[in-house]
Amino acid sequence: MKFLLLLPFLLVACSPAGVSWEAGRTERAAQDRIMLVRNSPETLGHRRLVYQSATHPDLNVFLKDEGLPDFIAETSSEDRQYLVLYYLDARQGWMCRTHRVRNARVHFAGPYSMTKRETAVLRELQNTSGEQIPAAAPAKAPVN
Amino acid sequence: MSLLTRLFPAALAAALLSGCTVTPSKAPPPDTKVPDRAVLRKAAARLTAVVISSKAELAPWVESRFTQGQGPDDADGGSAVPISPDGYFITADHVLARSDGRNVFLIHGQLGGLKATKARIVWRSSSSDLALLNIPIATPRYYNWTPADHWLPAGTPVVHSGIATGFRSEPGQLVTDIPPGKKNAARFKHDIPLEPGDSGGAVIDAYGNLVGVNSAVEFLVPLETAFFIESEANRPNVAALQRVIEKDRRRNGRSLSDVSPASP
Repeated sequence: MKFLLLLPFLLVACSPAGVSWEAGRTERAAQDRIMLVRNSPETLGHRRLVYQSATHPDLNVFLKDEGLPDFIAETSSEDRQYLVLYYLDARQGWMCRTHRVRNARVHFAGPYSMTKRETAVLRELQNTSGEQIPAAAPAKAPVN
Repeated sequence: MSLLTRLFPAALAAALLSGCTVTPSKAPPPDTKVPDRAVLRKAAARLTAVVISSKAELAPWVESRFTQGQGPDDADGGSAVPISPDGYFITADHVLARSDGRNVFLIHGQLGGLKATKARIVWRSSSSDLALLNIPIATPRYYNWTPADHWLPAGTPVVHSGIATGFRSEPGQLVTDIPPGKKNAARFKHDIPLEPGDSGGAVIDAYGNLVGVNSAVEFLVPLETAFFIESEANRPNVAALQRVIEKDRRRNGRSLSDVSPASP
């Protein structure tokens, strides 16, 4: 009987925490990576977009308008998250800046023009079903 | 049964509280007033460039609006911000990185046009990327700092006055909080993309007050294209900076009463 009383604790603890744990695990795996977005079989890039668009409704709306990107790159810093969306056919990239908090506003910047070389690199990766490659971490430069 | 009735409210409370996982920020909501044209006019009247050169004099070239004489062919520099009526300017320390053995000039607006005045380096801090310069003339147009005892929460609208992009950038906002405090020094971030030349430029709130000084820009370059993330700026411990200024005045036998009243 005592164990039955613990059930509500376990249930409420497990469902959101389970999702949150999985989201946290994929976030760590996605840090500073460029990832293929493919639904079936599902890639890490697709899973990250599912989690990110569930947390950030602005991103969900953007993806409905623009469609799923071919690749994403992800990084974070303290409480902020940054996501690059690559659309190969249009040779365009979009930068999304947001906070880790649920429903935080997403700031979109772009489109940035992709170079021919990086488009070719990602197209090759897509054609060979390569799922991810490392991305450079954010860099800081003085402005003078 | 009595155990059940005692534990059930606790279980219910746990269920309700498990949804409340977001930690509330201590900062109050930002004042969403956006800097208007009057603020930009104020910034334009205080626009200042730092030029570092081995040339001994730039005045003829600058005062002829760059039509007479020769400009420096070895110039480094950035932006600076007037912070007192008696010629004290703050800039980013790295703007002065190649100043050893060369002259530091401030090009600034004075009544009657642009002036180039040789500046003295008063104080530098590489850790905070801030430096203090002085020119021996009155600068009645200067900035007041935002009050040190006020929050400047993330989301506070700002503009900047760097010489490269200050007057063609849209207003942006702070990305990080600047909490109040006696010292109130902070490295903070805003979302206005900066370009070379903007270092040392003012970050200004909607009331024309100085928040801090531009320092750096952060990019994410996953492959080749550089995606802007955010810009970084610094705010000094204003009270400590004021003490540095007062000490420098005393050392040079000057006082604030030597200059005309402030007209910020």
